[in-house]
Amino acid sequence: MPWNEALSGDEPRYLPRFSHLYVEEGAMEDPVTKRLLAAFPRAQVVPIAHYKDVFNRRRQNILLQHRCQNLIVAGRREKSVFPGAPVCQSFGNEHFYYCSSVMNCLYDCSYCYLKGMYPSGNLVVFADLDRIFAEVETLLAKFPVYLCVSYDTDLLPLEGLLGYVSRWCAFTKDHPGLSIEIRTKCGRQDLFASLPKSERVIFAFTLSPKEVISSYERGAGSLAERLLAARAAKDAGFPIRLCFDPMLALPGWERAYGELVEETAKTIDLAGVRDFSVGTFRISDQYLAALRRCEPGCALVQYPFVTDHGTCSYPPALAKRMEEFLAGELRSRDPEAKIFFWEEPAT
Amino acid sequence: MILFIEALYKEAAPLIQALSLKRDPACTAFQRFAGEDVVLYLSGTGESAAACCAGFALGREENVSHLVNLGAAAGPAGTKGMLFRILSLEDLGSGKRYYPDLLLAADLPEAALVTSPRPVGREEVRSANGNAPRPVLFDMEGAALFAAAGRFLGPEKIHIFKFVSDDGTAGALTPALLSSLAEEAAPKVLSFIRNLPEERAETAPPVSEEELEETAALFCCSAAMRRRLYQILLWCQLSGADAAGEIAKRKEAGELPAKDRREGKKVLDAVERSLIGG
Repeated sequence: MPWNEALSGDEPRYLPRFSHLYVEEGAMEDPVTKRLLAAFPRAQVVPIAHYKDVFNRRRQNILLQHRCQNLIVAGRREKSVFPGAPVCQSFGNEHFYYCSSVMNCLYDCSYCYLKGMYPSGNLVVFADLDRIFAEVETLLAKFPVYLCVSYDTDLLPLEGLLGYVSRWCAFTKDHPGLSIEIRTKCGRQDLFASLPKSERVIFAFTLSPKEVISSYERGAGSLAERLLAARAAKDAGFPIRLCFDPMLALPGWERAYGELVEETAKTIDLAGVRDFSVGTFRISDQYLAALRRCEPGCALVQYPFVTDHGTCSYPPALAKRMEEFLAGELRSRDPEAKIFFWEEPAT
Repeated sequence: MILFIEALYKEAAPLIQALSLKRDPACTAFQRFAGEDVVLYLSGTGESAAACCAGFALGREENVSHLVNLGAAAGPAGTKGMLFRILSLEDLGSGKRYYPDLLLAADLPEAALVTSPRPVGREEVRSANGNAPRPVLFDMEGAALFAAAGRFLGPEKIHIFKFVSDDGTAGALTPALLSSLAEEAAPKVLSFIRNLPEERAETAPPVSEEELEETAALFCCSAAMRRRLYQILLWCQLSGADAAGEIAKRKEAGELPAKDRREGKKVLDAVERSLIGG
């Protein structure tokens, strides 16, 4: 008799998110760890020697892990601040760095490069943020620094758990040479009023057409929520950046991105936006190979991209058409819009 | 297919019976019992035997979607007869630790497992459980089995269950006790595997080898062109773009079949531009 008949199959029951917290033994007493343990009192806490013992396991199923994501708490590591990658925009800043205080994201975007970069879908939180601050201070002693603190994650939806956004804002306020960008797809509007204010803290909202958000950005804020959140950040006194990046070549992209800009302009006064980022989807060839294995049925990532010097992107003519279209839509509403394109300085 | 690996026949007997497995006389390296979509191997005791058996079975059996191990372990006082799902494994010899990915609910308490090359004593069990946040059990196979199986399967597909047979006291575990505890534990494990997700054969709509060959011949494809063509055809299938229509149009226009590779490349460029808007 087949086992599945003998046992009469039920639907698989998956565990809820954060059912297990893997905590490095050295980080067990850290205040951030204690805060996390208190937030999930029913979670099974598993002491581990090193976060990589769990995060870097072979053959992990990233899609399934996103469905019931677990949390790994790590202590310190040697280096957490890195020079910005070539595929990322520097926004004209000479000393452009990014840092990972958290690896991976609560949101599950089908096209996200993190699925190509990391072997796991679980979240890693580095509990020792002060150590990262010290690393930034070492750089600040040499030159002013432009730092993206929410690149390999999205810190805003984690704020209730970690409080890192607030700590970054306070740290930036106290360090005049530092400017930070906090990039997000979060729709929370209640956070900004209570954060320490600084003109050097830029909240950057990634905006996507509604059909992209509903089909490919699982868990992220809706377009309306993101726009309201951006407005709340601006009203609270923070400079905001609107990122039409990555633009995705879905069927009917012109209509979709046209509507996106229209919707954006209805909610936000574009003249009050610090700057805009426009860029079509691009990814390193190695990350794309892993991402394609992870998302075999996703048309967006199976697109026949062009590879040039290890970077995969849309054919140049299409990419140019898309970016020019978006920039045109913005400029038709705000001729003075400061728009940054990937590989190009401000126009 | 579900693969069970058990150290001893007495641990396996209730599973063999419940799943109506039949002994396979052709398999001589390890005892193998087979049913429809389920096989069970007896590894024998110890780390080497467990690792060898896992490698042998996973190299031999096709389409294994999950590996399950159910066996006896020594545990702290008060847990005798309890069945645990294992959430971490440690190889006592090397200190190396392994973590199954517990994504599915099991309705069983969880325990840590330490795999020792020799039977451990009562004092060792008691000492390991002193300040532990959860029971620490001891066996002689688990970590080695997990390490070997991890070469073939993801950590969410390896399920280790242990029932506590004794507290490390020498001579406490008798064959009759082992049988009786395995009989108690087996239905709970079978209930768990009933809920395992079935393996999906293929998530992406595949481009068949025949379709690719046939289309590649039209373009006189090189290996690199063939890879590019595959990606175009795959994307068309997923996005609903009409690759077949575009190719038929080129055939009608006399552009395909191409007379040589150079011409084929030009037409492939044009097809790609037309389909993906490049």
